[in-house]
Amino acid sequence: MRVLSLERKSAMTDMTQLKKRQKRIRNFSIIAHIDHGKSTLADRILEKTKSITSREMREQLLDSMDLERERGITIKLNAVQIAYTHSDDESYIFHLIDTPGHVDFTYEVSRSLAACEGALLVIDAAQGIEAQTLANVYLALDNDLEIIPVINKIDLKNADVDKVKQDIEDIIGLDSEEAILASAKEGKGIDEILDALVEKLPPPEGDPEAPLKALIFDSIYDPYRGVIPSIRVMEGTLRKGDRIKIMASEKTYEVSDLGVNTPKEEPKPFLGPGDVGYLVASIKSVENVQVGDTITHADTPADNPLPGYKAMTPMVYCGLFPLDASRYNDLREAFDKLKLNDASLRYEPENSQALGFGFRCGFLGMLHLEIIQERIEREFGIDLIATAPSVVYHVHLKNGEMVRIDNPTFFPHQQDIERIEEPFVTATVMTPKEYVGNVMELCEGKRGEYRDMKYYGEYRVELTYDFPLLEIVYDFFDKLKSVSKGYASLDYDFKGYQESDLVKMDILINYEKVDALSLIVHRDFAYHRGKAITEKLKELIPRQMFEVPVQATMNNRVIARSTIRALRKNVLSKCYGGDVTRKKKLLERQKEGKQRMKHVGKVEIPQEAFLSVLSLDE
Amino acid sequence: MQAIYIHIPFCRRICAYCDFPREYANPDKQSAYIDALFIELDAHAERIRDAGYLYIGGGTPSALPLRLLRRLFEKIETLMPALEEVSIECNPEDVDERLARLLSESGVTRVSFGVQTFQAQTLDLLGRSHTPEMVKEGVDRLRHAGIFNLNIDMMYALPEQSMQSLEADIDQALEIGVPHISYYGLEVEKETRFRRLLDLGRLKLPSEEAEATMYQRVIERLTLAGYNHYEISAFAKPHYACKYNRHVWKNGEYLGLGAAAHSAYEGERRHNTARPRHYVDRLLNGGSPCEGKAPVTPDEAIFLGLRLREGLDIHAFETQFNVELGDRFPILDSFLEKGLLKIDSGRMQFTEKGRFLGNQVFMAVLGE
Repeated sequence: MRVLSLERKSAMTDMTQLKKRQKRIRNFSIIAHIDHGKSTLADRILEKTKSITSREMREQLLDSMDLERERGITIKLNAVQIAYTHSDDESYIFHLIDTPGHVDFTYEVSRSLAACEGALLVIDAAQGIEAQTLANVYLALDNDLEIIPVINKIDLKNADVDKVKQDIEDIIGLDSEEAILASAKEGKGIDEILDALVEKLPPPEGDPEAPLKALIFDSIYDPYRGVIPSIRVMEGTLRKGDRIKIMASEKTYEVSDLGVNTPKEEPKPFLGPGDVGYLVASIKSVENVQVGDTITHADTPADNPLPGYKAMTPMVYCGLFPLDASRYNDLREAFDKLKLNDASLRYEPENSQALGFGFRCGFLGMLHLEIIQERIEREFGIDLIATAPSVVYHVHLKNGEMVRIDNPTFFPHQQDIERIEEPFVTATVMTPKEYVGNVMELCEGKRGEYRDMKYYGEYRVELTYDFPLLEIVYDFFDKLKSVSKGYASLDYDFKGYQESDLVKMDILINYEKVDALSLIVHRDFAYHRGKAITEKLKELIPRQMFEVPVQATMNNRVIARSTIRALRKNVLSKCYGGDVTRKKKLLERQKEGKQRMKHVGKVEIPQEAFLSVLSLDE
Repeated sequence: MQAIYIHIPFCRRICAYCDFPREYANPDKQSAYIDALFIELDAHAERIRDAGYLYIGGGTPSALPLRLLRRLFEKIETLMPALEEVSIECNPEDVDERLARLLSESGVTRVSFGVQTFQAQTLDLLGRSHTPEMVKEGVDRLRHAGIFNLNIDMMYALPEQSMQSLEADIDQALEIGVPHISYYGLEVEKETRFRRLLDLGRLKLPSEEAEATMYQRVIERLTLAGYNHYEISAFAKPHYACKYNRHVWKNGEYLGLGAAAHSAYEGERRHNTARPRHYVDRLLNGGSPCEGKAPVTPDEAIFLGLRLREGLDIHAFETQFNVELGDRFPILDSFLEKGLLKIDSGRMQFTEKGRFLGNQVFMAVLGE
């Protein structure tokens, strides 16, 4: 009995301390457009609070994967705990929660924002506010976050602080007097930012004694310990040894370890409301602990999960095939491994006449697709052929049935089709005034339907268009950047399915249908597209030893054709004694190029050709 | 060893298309280079004593000062008394009477001129220093000095070249009446000025189509004029084929001396360090200039042998490598079927079509 009461007593001290500690926690994210200085600012904050050295950070923190660093964006979310002593001599606990900065990952952004009470909104003093930033600000406001505007890069020659302040008032509706002027590069304004985090952000709410609710906002996969979710405790207290239940997936686990990242793992006996950390519970699959799901206690569960959970649905599909057919099983293993860490990745076996065995894969968007493709090539060393991306079509058949088609190969026969629906999105493009004409022209060329145009201040325009998703998944973003000298930015939301006059187009090379090149096009664009594709393929497919016709067909009718003339001359004109080694290397390089091609019938087709159907400079 | 190559890596001017090992001429460097070369020659004295063919190439051998050339020829005469063919590459502008006389007196039997084209404007673009007139003058001086076995190197598929200017070039090449013409299609190599211009979009080359037509035309006209088309790019009047090169194409052994020189003997390919400074340093310090070796492989024998019209001697090949040609390279069958290759009197040869598409066969064979 005495033992029990002692335990109770210590638990109560725990609670009082926990509540006191809770008041000194500040959870925040940094919202910024790519290149507006998010990483540099995070660096400075960490340096100033002496959390870790910048070298450690570069190795461990925000942009930890090579790919992220190369693309200058953050894919994987991370959170770090920072200790900060304020001018009131109290020590505070900050949790900086990182967010990805791309339209493909809006949902993840919204979930990491949901783990925060506030956000630093970083705006480049020379560039102003971009559409993507704005979209994330709205997500933050939706989550009731306190926003601290930071005007960064004020040291730049072309910085225009007044204009940015005007934007902050006009576009976001925040008081620009509150904005902190900073130069993360030169370390200016960092103290003000740290003070503002303490003074302006509210401490986390939540009752440590309530039933447990912890938000999963990220996870990593560790080969020895399984999936390790990153969590934010909203209500209740989570302890080592607790039996927990994941509310949406209805899985239960026992917590074998938990703690915080500083950024290295620091085990803790418990996490209370406002705490941001990790837990280890021998979780085998990331599918069971998806972002946005709620963790509660298995025996005393919360009544309702936290709001905002959505199962992730892939928007873009494509076929991925190993260049070397013998590596099919390696590719399967690569997918299995990536899947452990990526709940939104979908893949199932696919068999193409042209490309052999591979996988039909679903992705959140093109960036996600490219990242997975690059990781497979780089980390697993498997060369891939990717087919043109497709969306999911709703094909209504005459017999009343509706089929979902994500692969043009399996498109039903025209005569069986009643109507076809395709996914549409509402896209907002933010652009400086002078590029409005270019942007509208681009949008209209992509089957965009004009919805709205808004002026923000004197120079910025927000255009709203509805698009078929297919038209913007591929190269819309790149084109947008090029017609606006890089200034325009894009954000889009799924709108719904709408009927479209779509047809399937097949491509025949040397009179053989290449299933991997089939695509779905709008009837109005079919002839133009067919012409462009056959011309592009003529450019991309090297001359063979015989003439090769390339045809585009619709309902077995040829609508466009080009001819690849036979190769006439390919012979090294010089080779003497001193050249043997060098020329041999030269030919070996040519040969490698040949071997990287896919044989379809008698024709050798380079990898790029399979993506060419969508990347046309029309 | 029957065949010897000596590399002289110096040029007065660097040509826009050339990726051979070479650097700007400078008398001190050249003198040190010849000293080093002598050390290497002496080291191989036994091996080269009975040499029959010598080829002095570059770079530009004629860019060497006369006194150095004279020293070199004296050394050669001492070390290789049995030479039957001595070839040297010259730039037309270098061949004055003194050089012509020196070559003749030193036992040179064959001179090869880098002509490339007779169109003055194109010569300029190529980065050549001579004029079309200098070629004729040089040829005359050599003949006067008693050297008649001459070659001119020509090029087709040059930037902006038309069929008409090709015909004009062939006219003039034939008019000079030398017994050997090498006619090369321009290949834009890495790390040349042409490569950079091409990448910048500032070099307009004939299409593959036009290039094929030009090659066809070169073959027709030279053959008609009595030259044997004995190798992909080499044309010679009867008995004037280059013995040294034929020997190499037949996968014969050869020893290369000098910076960047390659050798093939005792079943191995070797090559010397490419930088003249390194070459000199190594030899003057008692070291070896050799920088790497690799076994001579059967694919290379096919690659070289097929270049000759007479083709690859199948029996000789099978004896040398102790394999059956068809067993070792089954892919060759498909080219026989496609009409790129044929077999005639125990030799595997390109057909007319195959001669234009040689790389298809080379690629299939190399590394297999």
